[in-house]
Amino acid sequence: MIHLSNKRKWIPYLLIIPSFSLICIFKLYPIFTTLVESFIVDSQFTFSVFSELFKDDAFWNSLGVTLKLNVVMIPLQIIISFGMALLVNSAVKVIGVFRTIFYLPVTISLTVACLLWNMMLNPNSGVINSLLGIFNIPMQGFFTDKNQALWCIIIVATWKGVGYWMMFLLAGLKNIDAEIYESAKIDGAGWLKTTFQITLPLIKKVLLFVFIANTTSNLLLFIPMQVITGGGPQGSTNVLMYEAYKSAFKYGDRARSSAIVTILLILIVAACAVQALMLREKEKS
Amino acid sequence: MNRKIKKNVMTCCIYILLVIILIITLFPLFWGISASLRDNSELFQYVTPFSLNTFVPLKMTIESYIGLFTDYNFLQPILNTLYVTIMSIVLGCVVNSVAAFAFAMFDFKFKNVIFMLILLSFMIPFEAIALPLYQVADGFGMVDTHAGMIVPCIASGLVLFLFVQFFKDIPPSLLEAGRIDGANLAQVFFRIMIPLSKPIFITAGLMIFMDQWNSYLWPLLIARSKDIRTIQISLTAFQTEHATDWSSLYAASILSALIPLALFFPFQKYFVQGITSSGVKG
Amino acid sequence: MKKKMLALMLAGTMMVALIAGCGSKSDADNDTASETEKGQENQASDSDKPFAGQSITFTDTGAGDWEEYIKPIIAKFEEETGATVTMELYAHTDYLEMLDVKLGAGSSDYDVIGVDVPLVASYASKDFITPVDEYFSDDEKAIFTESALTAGSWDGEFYSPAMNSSSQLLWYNTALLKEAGVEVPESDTENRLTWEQVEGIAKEALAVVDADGNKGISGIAFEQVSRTYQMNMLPNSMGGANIGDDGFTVDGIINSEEWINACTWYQNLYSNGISLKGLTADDTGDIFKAGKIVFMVAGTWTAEALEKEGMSDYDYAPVPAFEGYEDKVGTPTGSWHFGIPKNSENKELAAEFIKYMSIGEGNTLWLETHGDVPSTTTGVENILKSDTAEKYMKIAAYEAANTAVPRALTPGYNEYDSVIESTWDDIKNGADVKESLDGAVKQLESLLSKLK
Repeated sequence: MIHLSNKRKWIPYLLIIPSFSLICIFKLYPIFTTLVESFIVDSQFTFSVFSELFKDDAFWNSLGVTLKLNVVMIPLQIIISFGMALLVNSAVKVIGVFRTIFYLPVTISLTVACLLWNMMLNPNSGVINSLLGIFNIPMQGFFTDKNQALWCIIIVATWKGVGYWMMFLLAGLKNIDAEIYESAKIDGAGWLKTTFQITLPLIKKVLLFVFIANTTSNLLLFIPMQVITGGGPQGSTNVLMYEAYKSAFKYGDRARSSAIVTILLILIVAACAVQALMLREKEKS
Repeated sequence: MNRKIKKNVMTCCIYILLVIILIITLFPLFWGISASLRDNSELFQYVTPFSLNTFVPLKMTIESYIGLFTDYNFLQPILNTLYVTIMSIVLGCVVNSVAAFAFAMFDFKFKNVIFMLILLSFMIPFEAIALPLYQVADGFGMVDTHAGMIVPCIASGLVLFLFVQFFKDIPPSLLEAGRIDGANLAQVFFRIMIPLSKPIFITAGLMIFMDQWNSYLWPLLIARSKDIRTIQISLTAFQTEHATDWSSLYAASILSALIPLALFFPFQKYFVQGITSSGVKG
Repeated sequence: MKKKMLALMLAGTMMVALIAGCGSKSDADNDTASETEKGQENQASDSDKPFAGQSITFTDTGAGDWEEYIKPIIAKFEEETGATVTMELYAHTDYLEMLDVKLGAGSSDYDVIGVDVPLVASYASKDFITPVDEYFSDDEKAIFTESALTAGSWDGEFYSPAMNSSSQLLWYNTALLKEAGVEVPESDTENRLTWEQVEGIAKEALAVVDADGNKGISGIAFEQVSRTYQMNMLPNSMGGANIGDDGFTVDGIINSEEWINACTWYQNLYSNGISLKGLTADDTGDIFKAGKIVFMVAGTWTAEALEKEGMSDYDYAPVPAFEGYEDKVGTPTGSWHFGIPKNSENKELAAEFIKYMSIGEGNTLWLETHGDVPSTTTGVENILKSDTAEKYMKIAAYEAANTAVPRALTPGYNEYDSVIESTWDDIKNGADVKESLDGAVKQLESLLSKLK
């Protein structure tokens, strides 16, 4: 931390004013009005929106689906993108081409990515089923099968997202002093040891960013549900955010939508707090 | 000799992994690319049974790509989106890096509270605040303007958070050294931090770019007249009530994906090792 | 210190400049049909026109498609009334979403909006649109067909005049049938084919043209797969209703015997391989064009689409009936209507424009050029009597006047549509029919109870 004389104590405030005031006006204020909506019915403060919500089976189903989806998807994406970052951090020739192509799924809009995968995973005419057929594996239902639909969404979201997170982790890896690797090698440390005991701790701050941003974006994911499955089959992909979206945009029930968003916010904050603690503990050891 | 073989094996393994990931990455796009290169009538002919023609068009044509500009006037949305995106990147980086400098380098009253609020600001989905945000923008007279698309995007807690995390990684000794040498704060920021942060600025720029480039709901609400509509909205123009021009849809999607990629490719070489030991000792 | 202050002030000024809207606001006219310069020339003669100098904004779906048809129609209106109508069209997928946000925010951006007919009750009960009883006389209202008038009203008030309606036919691929050596018997609206018949023919055909099932050919397909608009015709054709008369009751209605029977028949199409699961509402039409579907239930727009694509191996018949339910045939109907948002600033002119477009000359021009099924009795009569109208339009006009079953009339149509659509989807994918329908009832009761 840089120390400031009393005369200059106001400098940080000046620096954050442009950004923070914009965030207040265009993000925090709308968020506040939205959250407040979940507590107001007919101009009266009430918890009834929440109690109605907790009585609704659809809500509990969504909660379960959301947790199921993210408990798998978040660690999966982080591990894969970290692996990819390590890979593209190497100095082999034309690595730039690989890096760029790995980023390609990020530049395609999520809606179009969903269309493409929906076609590939088509139960009757999809490429994947045709390939499986070559190995004499029977045709799978994929998005039309209530046991497979959620995993298919994980595949689509992961395919689309890992290039994005890889980029942040790569930038973080590049911040590490090359000399540290040299001295590790001299000390005789193997690749695995180096990665876990040296690399990981050194990119902790960036890792925290990726954890939090990834958790947020995955818990709020709903476009594949909107474009491909409509929350089905049989509610097996009906995540909380999709319920919230339907409530606000289809049913015009803004109070219910805001209530679900509030619960999602609590989930996100909880998950991020846990992750932040996990990373801080590692620091102590 | 042993070490050299080991190195070569390593390199080989790396290449193999890279190629595998490449195939997985590009595979789904093959369909989209081939669809964009064929006629609409041919599109559904060869989906089953699975054959080479599923991917390779019988009659390859770039008519759809040309049609984008002649029939659909796709150039305008591209330019609109580019303008909005670049302005967002420039302003977003300036505003947020300056604020991040404050959070990373100084301690001040209410710092933690403000930082928490900033983190919370991106944990709410945009769809939930679309309505109140529209009312705010309307109040400022920003409806149907480029400003309306740019300004709310600059207000990004996520970008600020990114800068903070990266700035925190810069060894304070470097900055103290600068100050001891008599540099004032502005010089520390501009002459020491920024040069060391090239990968960060590129990453932040990328993040803002993709956020704006693929943004759909907000431009839909705020850009009412056709002339300032952006790409994602224009993609829906290929779907009329009873028919979809798949070939053009995929051509437009591929094009709109290649533009950021083409802009990114020259910048990715700046992902170089940021700090070298000589810097630490200095 | 100085440098930093300067940089900050620069950034600050830039932002203020942006916020003040100096960033290029779109200057170009927003698809105004008339040329305002010309208008100013004729100002002298304009001043005696009823709405001279006034202007309204009209928004609707149909971007990229409807402009060419609507522009000349608007031009005529502007000429006759001296008013200016600004048209703002959106793509189908965007329109309703955008409208929801704007209407919900009480926006006064628009004076005339296109209303998707099943949403009339919802918009009316949410006070998004105003009743138009004061602008339409009883005689004028009588010009609409009964289903169009009912669908545009709610709670005893008339809110939403119709632009046109829609209807469905059974289209089939003559090339595939010829290849299989199977024939489709003659039929008309008095003597229809039966679904069981069609199922049999489809099976026979598939046995020849796609015996192994790896060519991806469908025997029977419904164009807008799983959508309420399309699929409810099946239980309707067995006498099942869409919703209770009160607009809220679903128990005993959508899980009735008629529904269970119709849905089971539908599910069996898929489990027997006559229909393929992978088709979506977006590509079924295209797949028929590619010659990979034998029978398809689709709208009147199909003929034009096929001609455009150069696909001529097709023919059509009226929608089949279920065996034993020949007098209960139900067909999908309804299309786009008009409405006046509550906060419109010129309701008089808006109503005038709507009259023009729904029962006036504008409507005639629209039907002529865009070729939809009319929602006025005069329009229907004209087609039935006409010598030049296509046979399929006559069938459609008949259906619109006789077998059309309007979609569920309820303020909770969005909820209804959402639940029913996912129920049809689940049934198609093999879920237990009775369980799915009972589950739908439970969900809807919970969702609709909030609106009572």
